[in-house]
Amino acid sequence: MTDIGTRTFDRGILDVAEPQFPLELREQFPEIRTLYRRSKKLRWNPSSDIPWSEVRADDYSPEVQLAARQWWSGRAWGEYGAISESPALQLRYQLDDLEPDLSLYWTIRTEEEAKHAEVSARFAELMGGYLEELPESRIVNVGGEKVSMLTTRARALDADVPVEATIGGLILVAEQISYDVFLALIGEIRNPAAKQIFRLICRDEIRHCEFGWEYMAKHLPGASAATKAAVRDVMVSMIENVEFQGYRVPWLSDTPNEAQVASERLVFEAGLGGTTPEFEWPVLSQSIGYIRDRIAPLGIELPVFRHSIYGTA
Amino acid sequence: MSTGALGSQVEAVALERDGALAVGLEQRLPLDLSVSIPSIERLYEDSKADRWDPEVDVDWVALGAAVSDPAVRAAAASVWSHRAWVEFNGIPESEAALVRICIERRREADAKFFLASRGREQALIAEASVLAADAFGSYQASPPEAYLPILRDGVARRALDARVSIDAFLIAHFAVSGSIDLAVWLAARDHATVAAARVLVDAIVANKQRQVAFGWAYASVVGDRLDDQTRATIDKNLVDVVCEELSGKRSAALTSGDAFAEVRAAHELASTAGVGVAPNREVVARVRTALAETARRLRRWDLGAPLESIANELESAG
Repeated sequence: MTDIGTRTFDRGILDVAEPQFPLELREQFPEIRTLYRRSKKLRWNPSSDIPWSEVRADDYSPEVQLAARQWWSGRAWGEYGAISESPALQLRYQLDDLEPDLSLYWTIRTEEEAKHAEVSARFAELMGGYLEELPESRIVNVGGEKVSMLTTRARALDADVPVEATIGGLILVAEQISYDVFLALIGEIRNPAAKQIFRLICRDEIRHCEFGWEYMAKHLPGASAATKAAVRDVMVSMIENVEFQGYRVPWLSDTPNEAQVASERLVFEAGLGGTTPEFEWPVLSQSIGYIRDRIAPLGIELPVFRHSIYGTA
Repeated sequence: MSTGALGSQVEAVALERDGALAVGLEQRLPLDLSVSIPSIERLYEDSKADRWDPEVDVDWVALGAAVSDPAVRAAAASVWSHRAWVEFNGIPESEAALVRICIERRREADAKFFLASRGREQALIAEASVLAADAFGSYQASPPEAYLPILRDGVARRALDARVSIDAFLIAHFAVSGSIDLAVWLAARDHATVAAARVLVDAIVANKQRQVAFGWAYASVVGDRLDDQTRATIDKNLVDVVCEELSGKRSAALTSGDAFAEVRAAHELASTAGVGVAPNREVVARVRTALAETARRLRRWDLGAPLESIANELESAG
């Protein structure tokens, strides 16, 4: 039997009869229900809401086209993780007997992530062709193993990992940083189709982030010290072992792949997305500071992080 | 406490405490996101374009006002509450299937994208069912005790069990069970004479038709490449899900025995109000027809022989 915070389990994630009754499906968590309502209202359609005719690959050099194909394909792989991995959290909401508002919202969040993957792959396709993988696939060092995913599913499916820890790593760190970077990136993007894509993605991502913060604001204050420690550990790991190892951007790796770094710079300078250290590091370090400040009142003290090349954040 | 030390074996443990169930391991790249099943891609496009929002698109006040008899209102609230439980359980069904198909190597992206939208469709139908129950008085959070085993179907466990082919799961749940589900809703639509109920049930039927079309489109793609073992697994799964359906999982009209006499009577009473509930006999007849049609469609892949026997038994039982 394993103690998880204030709850006790003697079962794994599938050792639960489903659904559990009483099943109160009316509003239980008003803040999350509000996000659900807003998501329904703000649904968009990749086919009709993006000016695809304005991608205009021919306006760019072959080198930029190739770099853009790689970058946008990489974006699709990253967004795909939210289709492949984070739906597993639905099962945790049941196991942990959490508010059904979470499940309702999460379904729309999953669909939104699918659309983010879809538009990214489509942009790559229009730039000359979506790529199923790069010669040097992106890797991340987590727990001593090289993997090419955030491993959200593994955490979600492990009943010994508090759901708060999974949400802390996935949403409060990974999604918050992505949102902050994307928001800044909109100002740098000049391609109209790419700009509209990032506007729509940011409009979704702000709700994804607020979901995490609202969940934590409600559930973390009453959580055990062990749960809070697990949240902290996962959040720290997500910054040190995922972000700072170059999962999202190659120049953050201790040993960056210079060809990939140069390729992303080409994309950035062409106004098609991409990233450079001088653009993004200030945004990233500010984002980490924001996360640290916002989680502190909930009882999680995050350290100042030190990157081997770019300094503290 | 574990923080999810993320070794390559983690996904294979902790699903259940005796460790008998494994979900498999994902190999993310290479990642094919191209269209490979155009019919499913069109269903995904349709789903994204459907902006139905039950909270704003149905006149709930008018729906509630359409029934004044307290007994009929209570019966209608009971039927719509039952629908809410079942439809809400369709969320983990979708999401577990999505997790599973993404773990499988190089499976069709169209199916993944559609499943990502299906969860949202289920959420909307569950939400709508709760609102309908409330319109008639009050959503009920618990079923009668006798109903609990019928409603607890372990669907996530089935979807995530790597020993069972995902094809078997998808065909059994999305094509076969889905066809019975649709039959029940089509019967309900014929008895949605109140305008607000018609708007509500029409929208639900549109979602259900997409979901069933997905199941059969998927079956069409994988049906010809099934091996004998998978075919046998599918037939076993088909029997399981059909027996669950016939026990009344989705509709009290399908129950039998004294333990369910009260809920059957409530379903029959609700059918008199024109609010999207069909008489019991009509639900049974629709399901019987759907079952026979399902068995006929499955024959193309040498599947579904047990369903034909069940359909014949139902026929002879009248």
